[in-house]
Amino acid sequence: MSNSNHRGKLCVVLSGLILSLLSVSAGAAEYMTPEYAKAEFRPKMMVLIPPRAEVIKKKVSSTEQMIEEGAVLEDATALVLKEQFDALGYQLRVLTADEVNADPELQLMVRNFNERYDADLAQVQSKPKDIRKRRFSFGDEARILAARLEADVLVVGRISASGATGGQKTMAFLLGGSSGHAALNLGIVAGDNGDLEGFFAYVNLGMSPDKIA
Amino acid sequence: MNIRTTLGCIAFLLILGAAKPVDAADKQAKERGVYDAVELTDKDYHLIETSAEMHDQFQRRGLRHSDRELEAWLQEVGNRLIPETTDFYQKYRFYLIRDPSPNAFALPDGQIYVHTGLISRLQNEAQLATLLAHEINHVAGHHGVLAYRSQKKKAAAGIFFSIAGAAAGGWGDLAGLMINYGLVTSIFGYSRDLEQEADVKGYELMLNAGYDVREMPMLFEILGEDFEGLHPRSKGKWSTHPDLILRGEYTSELAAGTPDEQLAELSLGDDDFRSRVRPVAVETVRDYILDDYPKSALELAQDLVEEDPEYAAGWVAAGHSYISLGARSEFADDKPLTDKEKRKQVKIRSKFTRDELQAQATQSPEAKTNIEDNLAAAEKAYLRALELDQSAVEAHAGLGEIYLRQEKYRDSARELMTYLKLRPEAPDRSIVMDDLRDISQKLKIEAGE
Repeated sequence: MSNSNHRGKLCVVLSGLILSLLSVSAGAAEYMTPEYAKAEFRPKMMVLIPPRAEVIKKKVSSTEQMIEEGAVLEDATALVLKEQFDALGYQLRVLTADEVNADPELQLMVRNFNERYDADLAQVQSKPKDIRKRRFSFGDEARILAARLEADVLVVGRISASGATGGQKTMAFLLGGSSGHAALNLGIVAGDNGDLEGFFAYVNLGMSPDKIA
Repeated sequence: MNIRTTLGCIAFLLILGAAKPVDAADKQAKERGVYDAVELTDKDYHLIETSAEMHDQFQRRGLRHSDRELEAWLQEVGNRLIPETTDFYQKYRFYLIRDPSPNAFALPDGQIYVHTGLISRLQNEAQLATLLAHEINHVAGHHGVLAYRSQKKKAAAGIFFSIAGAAAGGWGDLAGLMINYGLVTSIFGYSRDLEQEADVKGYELMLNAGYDVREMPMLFEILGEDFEGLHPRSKGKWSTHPDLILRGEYTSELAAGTPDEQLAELSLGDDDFRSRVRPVAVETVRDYILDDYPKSALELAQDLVEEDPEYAAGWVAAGHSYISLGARSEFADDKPLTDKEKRKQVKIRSKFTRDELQAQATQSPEAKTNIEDNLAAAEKAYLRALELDQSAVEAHAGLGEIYLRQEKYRDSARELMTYLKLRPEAPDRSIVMDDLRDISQKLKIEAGE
C-alpha cells in the first residue's frame, strides 16, 4: 500500500474514532462557565489550534507507525471537529500545523499559548468544576494569539489513545475493544480575556474513565 | 513532588536497571575502547525509523528553533568532533530545540538536539564541544540501540512513562514524545556507566578537535546551578544526573592529566561564541518568564548585561525579568530550603495555577516592598536599554506597564503610545490598546469628568 493510500485509510478510520468518541455520551463530561452554559457567550469566529495527539502502544517495540498515526489522528480530529461545530452553527476555522510553521511569529505565538495551556491543564483536569468559578485563564498568551487570528475563541484539542498491538488492530480496539483507551478533551478559551469558558472530555474506555476528565 | 520531578526520579531508577548493555560483543568492543559496528535486527531498525520520524514531529510541533544559521554553525562544531562513522544508519546532524530546560539529547540515527536553555548558559565553544562530544558518543557507542534492546519488553514501564509524559504537559511535551516512542533514555539519560563512557570518550574527541579540555568540568558546574532554589527544572539527564559533581571531578582529573605542551595547543574556540548565542539567550529569558521561572530568567538576563553592558536587548530582558518577579524577592532566602521543603514547594506549584501562585505571593509581609523594588529595578533596566538604543521599543512597552502598576497613568499612556507608534504591528497591540482605554477612563475619573 502506498503511503498516501495508507494515510488516507488511516484518516478515515481515525475520523471514525473521533466521531465515536463524540457520540459516546456515557463517557462525556462537560464543564462550562455560567455564561457559556446559558449561551450568553456566543462566539462568532472560533479557531481550532492544531490539536495534539499521542498514540501509545503498550510495548515499546510496537512504536512503528505511532508517529504517523498520531499525526493523522491530529488531522482527523480537526476535520471531525470542523464538521461538528459547523453542524452546531458555529464558524470554526481550522488552523493547520503547516500554516503555523510557515510563519515564525505565529509559530511562536502558538507555542507560547500551548505552553501556557498545558502548564495549567493538569489543574483543569483535576478540578474541572472550577471552570464555573472562572478559575482558569491563559492570560496574554491566549489574548495575543486570538488577536492575531482575529478569533473570539480558541479551541484546543488534546487526544490520547493507547493500545496493545501495532497497526490497524490498534484502531479496531480503539473503536470498541476493551484493552486500551482513547480520550479527547477540548478547551474553549475566550479570546478577549484568555479565560477557559468550557472544557469537554470524551472518553472511549477499556480503562477506568473517572480520572481522565 | 510534582509529576515532572516524579517522572525524572522514577525514569532514572528504571533506566539504571533497564539500560545495561546486553550484547557480549558490544561489551568487548567497549572494553577495547573502540566502537564496532552494530548490526541491527528488524526490531532495532524500527527504532532508527522512529528516530527519523521524530525530526518531522519536532518540526510539526514547532519545537525546532528557526535560526538555521546557528544550526549550521552547530553542525560545523559537531563536524570537527565526529569520529569515523561505523554504521550506515548513523548520520550526524545537529539541531536546536526551543526549550528553556538545560538539556541536550541524541537519537540513535545521529540526530543531536541542543536545547536553547542549555546553549544560552554556555560561556564558550569548548563547553559546547564538551556537550556535543558527549552526545556524539551516545550515537557512536550505539547507546540508544543497546538501551532499546534492553527495555523494549518492559511494557509496564513504557505505559507508565507514556501516561505520565502526557499528563506532565508543557515540559512534558518533548519528553512525552520521546517516552512514547521508545527513546526515553535519549532524554532521561543512560546508565551511569554509559554516561561516564560518553564523557571519557568525549575527552578524546575534544583533544582531537583541539578544544580546551579544562572547560569540560565547567559544563557540569553550570548545570549544577539552581536559580529558583527548588530544582524544579529537573527532567533532563544534563540537569538531573545525580553525579554532576562526580562528573565534574573526573573530567577535572582527565584535564589535569593532559600534558602541558598539549594543553598549550588547545583553544576555547570561536571568540564570537557568546555573540552568536546571545539572541537565543534573550529568547530563553522570555521562555523562563513564560514558564514562571523568574529567578532563572533574571540570572540569565543579568549574565547578559554583565558580559556586555552595552547590549540593549539584555537590559530589556532584565526589565522583563524584574517585572515577572512580581511580589517575589530577587534575592535568595538566607537559609536554603531543605529537600523536604523543596519538594513541598514543587507540590504547591503543581496544585495551583500561575495566577493563583502570583496572588498568593502578594499576601506575604514583604510583598509590597518586593513589588516596589522590582518595578524600580525594571524601570532602571528599561531606561538603560533606551539610553543605549533608541530602537529598543519593547522598553517603552515595559515602562508603560510599570507606570500603569504604579498608577502613573499619564506616564504609562505616553510610553504605551510611543511603543505602538514605533511598532504599529506589535503582536500585543490589542492588549496595549485595552490598557490605553483603561488609562483613559482612569484619567477621566481623576479629572472629575
